[in-house]
Amino acid sequence: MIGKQRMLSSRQITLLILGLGIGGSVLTLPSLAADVFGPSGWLLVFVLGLFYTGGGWFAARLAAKFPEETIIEYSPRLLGKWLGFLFNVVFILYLFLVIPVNVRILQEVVNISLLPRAPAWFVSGSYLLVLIYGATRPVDQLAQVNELLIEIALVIGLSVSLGSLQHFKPLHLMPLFSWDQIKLDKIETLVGVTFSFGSIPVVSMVVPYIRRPQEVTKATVKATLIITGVYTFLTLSVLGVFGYKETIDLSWVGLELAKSVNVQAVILQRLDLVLIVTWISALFTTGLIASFLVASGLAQLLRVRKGSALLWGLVPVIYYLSTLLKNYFVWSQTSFYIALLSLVITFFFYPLLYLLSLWKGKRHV
Amino acid sequence: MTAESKKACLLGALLLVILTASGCWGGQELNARAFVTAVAFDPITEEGVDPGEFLLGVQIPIPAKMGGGGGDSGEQGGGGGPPFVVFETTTKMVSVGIRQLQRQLDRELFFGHTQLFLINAELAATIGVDQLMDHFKRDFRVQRMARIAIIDGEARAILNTQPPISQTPSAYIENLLSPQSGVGINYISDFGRFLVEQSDDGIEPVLPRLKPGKEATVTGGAAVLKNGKFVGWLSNFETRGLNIILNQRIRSNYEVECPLHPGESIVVGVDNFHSRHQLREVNGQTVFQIKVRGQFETIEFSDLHGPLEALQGDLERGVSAVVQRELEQTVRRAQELGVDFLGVGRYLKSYKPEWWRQVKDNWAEEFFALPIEVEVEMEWAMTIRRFGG
Repeated sequence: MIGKQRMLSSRQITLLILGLGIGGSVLTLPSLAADVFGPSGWLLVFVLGLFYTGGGWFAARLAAKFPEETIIEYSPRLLGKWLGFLFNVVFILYLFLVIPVNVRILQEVVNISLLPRAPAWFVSGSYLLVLIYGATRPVDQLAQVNELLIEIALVIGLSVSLGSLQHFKPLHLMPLFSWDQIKLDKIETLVGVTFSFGSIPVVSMVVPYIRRPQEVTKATVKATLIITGVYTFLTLSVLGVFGYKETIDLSWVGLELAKSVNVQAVILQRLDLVLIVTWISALFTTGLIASFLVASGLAQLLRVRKGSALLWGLVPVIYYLSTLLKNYFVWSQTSFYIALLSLVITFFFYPLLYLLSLWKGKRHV
Repeated sequence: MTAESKKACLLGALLLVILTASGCWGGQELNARAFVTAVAFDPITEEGVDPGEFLLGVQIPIPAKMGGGGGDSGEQGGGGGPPFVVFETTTKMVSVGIRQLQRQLDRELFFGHTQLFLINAELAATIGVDQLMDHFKRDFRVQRMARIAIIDGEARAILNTQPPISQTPSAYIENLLSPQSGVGINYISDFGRFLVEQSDDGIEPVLPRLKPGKEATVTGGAAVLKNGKFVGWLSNFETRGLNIILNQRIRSNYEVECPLHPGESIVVGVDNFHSRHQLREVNGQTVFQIKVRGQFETIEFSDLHGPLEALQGDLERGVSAVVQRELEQTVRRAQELGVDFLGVGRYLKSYKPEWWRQVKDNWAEEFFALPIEVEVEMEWAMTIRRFGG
């Protein structure tokens, strides 16, 4: 990676982590959290966020120790050739599997709200083409697009949450930690909640492009804390407005929250369509960044000069996989397996790689 | 691939996306849709009809007749006749009924702008509100902010009533049922709130009551539901009491006797209610206490005097007693019906979860026997324009 132009600011790194993390899964996150933790679901989200912040710290420290390389390049040196290769495959597979789920979520959101009659093949197909085209652009262009879209999505998302506070009832958040409402046996749902947090791998792939690599840890921790704050606030709002029982019953609970908000004296009084339009941008940034990371990861793994050609070659596969996710239950199940991969990478491989890097005596940045 | 052919490919793809992704695909022109503004459910009165069947009515505005003008006559722009049309069908399932209605229409019925759901009380008691609304709570287009009311009479009669001022009946009723009506005896709720209360434990939903009349539709009072079915009415004053207990931020007027001149009346405007709930022990017995604080101002005197300093203490006690009697009556009504629409169970579930676990399966009986105490303290917030008579 030596010789790559260092053009990304630490702010752009923070936003890239937000861009990959904040997407369609946020719209269903409060429902999953309520299913496991009842009215204390927001605490579950908060604690998971703190764990992921810890994982992010390991990932960022590790990346900062190899400022000229991506994780694909240095992991074989730390883990050994074959285990390193296996890790790289798992790492790329995780990012790759995010894309069909992202395509499927977008198609579902578009069909239930904006274009009910548009055929799935058209919505998924056109979105996928735009996504892959965007992912083949240089990283600075991608970062700029992400910067614009994710900020707008965040502002609108938080406005909806704030607007919903008019219906907020603190009573709905009680009792805090009542054991009969906490269902830790719902392990699949619990793991599914972590799907929304898996955006840390960005930092392992873009560190060679960062202007000041010494700032990467701060940028990563900041991003994971923002994600934790946003998710916790959204979950808190949803639970406070709907109560945990109604929250469990709703699939796209984030959209339902927007349907409950009526802002008087504003031209667009109903915020649901505004949220949907901006959330499509958030979905786009998730798919865009995941696709970019897959292209760049595959290029390094297979030692190919142009990752974009590989990515275009994968379009039919991604499209086919997205069609296999035929309904909410199927893609939720798939997101469970993706979340498992994310957990393994974040809480097993990152600390392990970091410890190995210390053991092998690499220089601290 | 040369740079030029690359550009051409890109432009072609861009053109395709611009033309299609902007909403043209599967798009539907406005004049191809029939916007349903109100839905009514009524029982079928004919004999021998399946008891599961009901009458489903939808009101659709006629855009050409929606232009201004008309004045008090109710006549609208664009020619004579009402600015809406009502279609009806009998069915056992709402979605089947919609399909039947669709056969009469050249436009697709669209429920994204439905403002009102009106359900006849008898039907709400037999089939149940929850069952009747099942289709709509699963339709993404239906707004959670739509109003829902129980009708003391024929629901479809409201769909066909011309409002006294020039707007559609659904907009008129929606305004009557919204906070802007400013009437304390209306229970303000919507579809979203109904769903939240229906799904929760320890609280039963209440919906506003409407009574169709010859000249106008009358609001006031509320319908009590249990397990999704209608079980009884709350009177106007019981509804006002419920609004106060549930912190619904209402303003209203009360008539109290003048403390200095028995037989004379003072009308007070009450406001700024704040209701707090707590459990406390009284003589070894657990009591659910509802503590209400509020303010009032004097707005009319039947006697030949205005606000007097000498009235202060007695008037505050008098107004507190009147409000307290009303709230106690609301609590009595809830216990008589055996329906916890006050949210006492919800409070226990939140703050005394262990107790709630013990009583939740038998809550109707436990609620009936639970001592509920009401304490009201009203404060005279004097904003006086004139002292004398």
